[in-house]
Amino acid sequence: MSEEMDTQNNSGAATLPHAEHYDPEGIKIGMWLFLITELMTFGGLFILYAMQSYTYRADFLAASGSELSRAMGAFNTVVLLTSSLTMALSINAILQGARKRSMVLLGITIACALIFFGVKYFEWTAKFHHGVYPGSEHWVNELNNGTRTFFTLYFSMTGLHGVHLFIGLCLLIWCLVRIQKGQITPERHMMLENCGLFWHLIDLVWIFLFPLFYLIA
Amino acid sequence: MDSPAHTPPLADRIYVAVYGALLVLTAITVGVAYLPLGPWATAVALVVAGCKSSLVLWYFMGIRTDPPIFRWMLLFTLGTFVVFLVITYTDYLFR
Repeated sequence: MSEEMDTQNNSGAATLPHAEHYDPEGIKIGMWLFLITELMTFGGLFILYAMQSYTYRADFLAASGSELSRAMGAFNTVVLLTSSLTMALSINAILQGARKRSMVLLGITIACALIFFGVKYFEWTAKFHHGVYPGSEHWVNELNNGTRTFFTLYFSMTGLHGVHLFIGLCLLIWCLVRIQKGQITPERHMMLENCGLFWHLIDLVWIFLFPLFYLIA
Repeated sequence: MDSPAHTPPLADRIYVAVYGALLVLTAITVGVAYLPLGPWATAVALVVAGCKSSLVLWYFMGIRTDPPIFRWMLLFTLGTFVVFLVITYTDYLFR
């Protein structure tokens, strides 16, 4: 009896296939809810920056001018903006069914992320060479409270931004693999679009970090 | 071409135009930093950053073509952030 029912159920399932539920808008709302928590995380740090720069105005201006290279900051800004453009174009390409073009554009985005990391590596090591890091002799004996606060914020905020960039980079590489395997298609493209949203958020945060740390001198 | 094509919400040339605008704004914000504006320098830099981030949100992040709920979610977030900012500033200035 039960065996009979099982067979019936199985054949029923086989003869009545139903479309898998795929809800792009719901997927996107979920991503935005996460992005909102991200915005508030960085937002809190920006409020902290605002308060500290109010207290240590002169030290902040001097520290920004003495240690941070505007050229490197501006270069990295252009790199991230370019990566945002190629990210958006890559999503457009996948929507149009142009898989290869999408992969090339995504590859450029990934290359931009690596360039950004390269520049950041030079910037941070230059600071370490000058003894500008928490706990160094120079830091403890020669830097005043304002300068220390500025660089503590600099390392935490660009550091947290860097962590996001690294996670974003891993996600983009994963997307590239999935496009290659044909798992991201015009119908099921939301993974690429959500990773794109995350990538643009990283760009968004940098748009504020750049002037606040590099340009205020 | 492994699947039928969909029309993207925004054409490629719109993204390229927005990218151009973002580059121009970056050039402006770097250029302005060399002018002797004193305390206004930060204000100008933040206004330019605000314009750039609006462009990124509106076009690159697709708020322009998304259903209205995304706009409301974003506005609610920015409103909450402003409340935090104002409360912290008032506490700080009048303590």
